[in-house]
Amino acid sequence: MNVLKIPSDLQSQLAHEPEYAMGYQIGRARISSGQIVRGYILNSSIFVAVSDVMRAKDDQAARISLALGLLLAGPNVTQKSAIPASERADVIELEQRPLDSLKGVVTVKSAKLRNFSAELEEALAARTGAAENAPITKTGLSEIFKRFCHFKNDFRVTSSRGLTPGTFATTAADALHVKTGMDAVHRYALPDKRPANQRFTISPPQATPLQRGIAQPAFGETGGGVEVIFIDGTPDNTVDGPEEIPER
Amino acid sequence: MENVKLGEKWRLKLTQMPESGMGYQLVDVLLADGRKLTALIVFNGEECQTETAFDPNEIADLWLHQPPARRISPETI
Repeated sequence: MNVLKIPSDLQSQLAHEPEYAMGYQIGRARISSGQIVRGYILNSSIFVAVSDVMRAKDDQAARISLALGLLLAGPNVTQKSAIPASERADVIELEQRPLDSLKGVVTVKSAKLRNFSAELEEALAARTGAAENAPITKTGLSEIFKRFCHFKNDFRVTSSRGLTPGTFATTAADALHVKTGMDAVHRYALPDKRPANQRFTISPPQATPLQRGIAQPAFGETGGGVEVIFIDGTPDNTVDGPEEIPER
Repeated sequence: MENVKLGEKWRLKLTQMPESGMGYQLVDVLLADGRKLTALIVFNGEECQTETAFDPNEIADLWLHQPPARRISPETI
């Protein structure tokens, strides 16, 4: 597990921003490889990836304690980390804590957002109940998932028939609602208006990490379907298909 | 809306980045002339939808678009 030392210019900015809770902030850092990593920011100076800490702990307080412990113990490079060694952050976006979680607070000054006006930004903002904001859980025994795509040569499926990290799918139960490619476009609020009529079947091993959520309305679609994100992807030989379903 | 086909280099990079939803990624693109195009949708790591036409050979870098949250970056210091 690696920690990220936040550059001094960003540190001074973070020090003037509100905490998420006592002693820490939560944000997303873009590291130099271009990857976005969500993590805890401790003392405005150290960034620890949430996924690194979550592998070991399930509740937030324990995760914070562990992250603090990591700081005291120093980086441990013997475990796989979401942050490659020698990386640096060039942008950090802070997450705002949901107002309804601030019990007992009389006045809350809303944070001023950067002036995004594009429709895409509204779609992104609407995704607050979506899978990427959900806690990381694990797959059950023999749990099956489906993925709908317009492309037969889906680039998220590796040559050895696994999924790359960060790939979306849905549960087999939810996929029963999808009879056509356009059903998938509506149910999972997809921006690509061509039918997502290529259906892949994913059979990950038990305890594969994932996030589960509900597709929020976006791109003129209703959403409402279950969506999951395979945080670390899936191993080789876990993806079958695609099967072609009717377009409409 | 233009549909720009990204080269293999960028497809490989996008393979290593998470999706923004099933089958798509939202990206920001930096062009060699300094222009920055934000929140472009890319399908299957190669089909990039954009209102501003550009030559894919002129891409200097691309990265995942950040969600609309409070942003702190060197640009705003």
